[in-house]
Amino acid sequence: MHISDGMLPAYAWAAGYAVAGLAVAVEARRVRDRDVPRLALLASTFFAASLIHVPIGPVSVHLALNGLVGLIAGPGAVMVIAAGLLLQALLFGHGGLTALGVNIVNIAVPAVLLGSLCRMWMASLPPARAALVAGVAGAAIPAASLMMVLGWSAVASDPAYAAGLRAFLLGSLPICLIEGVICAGTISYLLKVQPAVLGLARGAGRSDAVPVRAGS
Amino acid sequence: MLCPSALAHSVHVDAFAEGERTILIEAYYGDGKPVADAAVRVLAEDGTQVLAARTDAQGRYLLQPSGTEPLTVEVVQAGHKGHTVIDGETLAKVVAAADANEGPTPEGAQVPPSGGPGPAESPSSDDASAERAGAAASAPAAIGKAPGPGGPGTVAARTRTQTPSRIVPLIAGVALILAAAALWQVRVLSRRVEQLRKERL
Repeated sequence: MHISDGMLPAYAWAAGYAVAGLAVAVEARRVRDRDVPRLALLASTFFAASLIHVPIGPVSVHLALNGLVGLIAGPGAVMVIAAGLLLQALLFGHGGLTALGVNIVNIAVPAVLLGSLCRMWMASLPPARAALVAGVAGAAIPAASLMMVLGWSAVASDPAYAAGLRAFLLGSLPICLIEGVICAGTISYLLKVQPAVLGLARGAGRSDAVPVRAGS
Repeated sequence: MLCPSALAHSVHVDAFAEGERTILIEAYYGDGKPVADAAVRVLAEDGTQVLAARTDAQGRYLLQPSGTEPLTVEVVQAGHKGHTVIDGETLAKVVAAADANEGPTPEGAQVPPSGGPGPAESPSSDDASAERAGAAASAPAAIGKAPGPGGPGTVAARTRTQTPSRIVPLIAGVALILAAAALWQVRVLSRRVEQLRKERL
């Protein structure tokens, strides 16, 4: 779901950069120091996930995992995704540097909005139900990103490209189901072994939050 | 889930001068798979389209240039696009190679490497060669003309790039992210140390 360089008119990628830059700047001020290692791990996962590709029909589609990032990081997802996409563009040639802003917007906006909402919801649910919510969100978030890319294709400067892109996007919707399964599995595992990673407020009926050691 | 043949989604386009007014265009995804049956567009410097064609099953296309003006070759498939620029010098070499070896050359004939024109040979007569190209290459888009597997080009437009390794950029990226996080932690710690020192004073 990366948009390549040279596909969108200049105003589109300039707008993408403006929105993405603003979001990252706001979030970088807001982030708590103790969340940084967690975000870095997530960014590494997100960065590497784009190498896992699943053949669907004639083309292969790679994982985005932005649903998982959004569920774990909440608003911090925008930094995770920006870092991951920058490195993907530089090292793997996914997307491109001019399209980076637009790609950050496409992938991070659903992750931040839907992810934060579902996080709050999950905090009040028993683990099994929370995992189900995570699965649905994990599928819905990349699907929403695909739809955003579809929206951008309306202003693509290259009509032939836009047509190809649309066909490709519809073909890659099944990957969202796979992402949903991955997301549900990861979240339910984390809820069992390390709920602190999720950083959820202590949910109802969950008393196994990390014990706080009294500092001296 | 872990499929090793990853790194799809970046389309690479390479151009190799095959001699005899032929440039081999080769398009492949980042994982090395050919970009088969994809739209090829050749653009002039000013962006006007010179010709449109498709790659064959091996992601290849034989371009028969007639002039020496730099060309941009774009390959687009399923929302992925790659391009390469063939510079005037390379085109001049290929066109000059054809001129030097004038006459009906059987397809796939090897140009003796020694007889290959040096780079010093200037693109002498653009107009004449263009005319001849028009005559010789009835259809400039020779789709599916399988490039001879054994015949390496006399003039390599660029060195044949290997399928890029995926492991190195992967490790580099993860290392960069973790290094950034480590730097952040160092900053946090140094701030805390500073605070403690002040408190003690």
